[in-house]
Amino acid sequence: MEFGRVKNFVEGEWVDSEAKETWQIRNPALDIVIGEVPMSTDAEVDAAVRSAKAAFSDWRRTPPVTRARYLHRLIQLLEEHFEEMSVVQTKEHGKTIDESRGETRRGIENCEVAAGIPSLMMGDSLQDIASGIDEYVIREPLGVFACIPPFNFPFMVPLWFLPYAIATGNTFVVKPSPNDPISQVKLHELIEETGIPEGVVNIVHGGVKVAERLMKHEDVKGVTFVGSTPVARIVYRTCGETGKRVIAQGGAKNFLVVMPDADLDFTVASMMTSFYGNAGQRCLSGANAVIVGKDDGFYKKFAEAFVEAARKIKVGNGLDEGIQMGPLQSKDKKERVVGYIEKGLAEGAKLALDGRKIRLEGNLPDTCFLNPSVFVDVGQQMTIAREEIFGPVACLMRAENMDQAIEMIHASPFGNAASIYTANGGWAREFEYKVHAGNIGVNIGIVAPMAFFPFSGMKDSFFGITHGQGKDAVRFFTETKVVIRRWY
Amino acid sequence: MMECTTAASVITYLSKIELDTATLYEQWGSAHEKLRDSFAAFAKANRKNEQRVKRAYYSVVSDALETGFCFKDLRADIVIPEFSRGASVSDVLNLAIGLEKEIQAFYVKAANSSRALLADVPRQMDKVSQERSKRVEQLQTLAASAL
Repeated sequence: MEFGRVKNFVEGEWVDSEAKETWQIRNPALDIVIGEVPMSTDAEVDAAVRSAKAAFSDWRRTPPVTRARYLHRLIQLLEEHFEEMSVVQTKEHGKTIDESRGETRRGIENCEVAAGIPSLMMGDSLQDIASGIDEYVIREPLGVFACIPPFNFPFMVPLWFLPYAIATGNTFVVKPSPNDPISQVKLHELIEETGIPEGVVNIVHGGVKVAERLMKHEDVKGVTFVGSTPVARIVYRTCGETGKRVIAQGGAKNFLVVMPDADLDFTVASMMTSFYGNAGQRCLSGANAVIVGKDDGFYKKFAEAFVEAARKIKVGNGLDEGIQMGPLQSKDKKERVVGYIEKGLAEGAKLALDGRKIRLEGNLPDTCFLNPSVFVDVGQQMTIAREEIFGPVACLMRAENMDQAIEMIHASPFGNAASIYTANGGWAREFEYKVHAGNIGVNIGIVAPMAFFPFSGMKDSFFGITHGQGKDAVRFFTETKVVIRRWY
Repeated sequence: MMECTTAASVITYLSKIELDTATLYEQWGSAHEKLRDSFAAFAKANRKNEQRVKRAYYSVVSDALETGFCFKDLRADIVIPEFSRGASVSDVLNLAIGLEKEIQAFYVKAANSSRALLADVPRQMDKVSQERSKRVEQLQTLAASAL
């Protein structure tokens, strides 16, 4: 096993879990075991929280500018280890090396933004709210926060939160996805190298039980979660019951609307990334492409170009730089996607490109691989048009006009992202104005907000008030205290 | 020859081309006193270009960009001539002109096909391509004076 059994990181020490139950960490491209992750015990979860709680008092008194310096050092270390961090993600997740580098860069960008905490965390003040009386508001950290990230962005998602949490003076416990926890271990090795005080950041490995214990722990003040909608609901409810702050990001079913004036070549190229990047395993992936207009010719031309481009996608081991799509992260996840393809066929959708017929670059086991699939003439009521597939499957649908396309978007319970492809500014503005989704793209296939903007989401895609990243994250990790002052 | 479609493959390929060509210029420069200074400058510029394009890529690479699908009809088929100590100054200059034109054409094509999709990278490719255009003129002037 290349990475061995991963350890918990508690009180600044790497410690072996006493857990007997373990999961295998597999490289899905090669279908080999590369590591092992323990399902930590309740006592180990408690120890991680205790470690974070003990560190809080000193850490919150550490000046923000000093806290920011640890992040500056981390940024430097991440740049030095950029390629190593990226390669690990590809090995444990399967994504292409371009995608892993993109993930690494996004993670670093969040550290960069959070390093501006002396400015971001400033409060407000007003002299003379009444003669001789001043009032001001300060932002204070709360204590211990826990992070429960998903498997699809194992390196980046914790960094939507961790840098802001610690920069604002909180302490942090992350429970990485047991599918691919190695990049978090590598990240924390670098955090340790910054010399950050013991207990400020902690890792405790495990699955559902560990997550539940963190959510219910009385010393945890807030939880960030990214995953599926059913689990996000549970997280939101559980954290609500225990009086915690929560950011719970759920699933998605993103619509990409193609107007009749869209540039075909550009749109198709952009959509390939949207539908098939990360093998379709991301909450910002395109799911349904809605081609607008009554012109059968335009729809046909678009569908042909889309299918042709999808057919040409090179699928293989993401470490090969020429590869455009890697495997699904596990065999189970592949089987789930295959189940949806079968359901689509059973409900009468036309499969123009069948990704179950595996064509790989290189001699690789096909255990976790699928090639891109394209369904055409998909009906709005079909399961494949409604549910999150989380795999490389595109559904091509039609709408007579933009209003109908927007109605289709609004019929979905999800509201993570939606995009329009057009050269018409009026249409784009209408779309942006009317569509109820957290992240809107205009000629953008993956509407991934930069680190200085919130990662939004609406409806069943998000449960909470403030979001990850940027100023929203600073608000989430701080509470406001108002002081009114007069002197005799 | 390999078709390049991903940003990672193009950046690695360009990196190799720039560095291999830098080495070749140094070898040619050491074999011909007359070319030494110009070719040393070319080698230095190549290494700078390699860093410039790579840095642009690593700075903007993002899960939101179309890095897997940003290049089209781009083939990694530039042939770098073998160094031959016996080649005359005129032969070397002709080889260099041909090579530079090929590299420039690759940069132009790469920049054009990725312009809408890859943010800063095509902009840097344009800059390198413009510099290469000047370099071809310089080489042609040297070739004319070598006659």
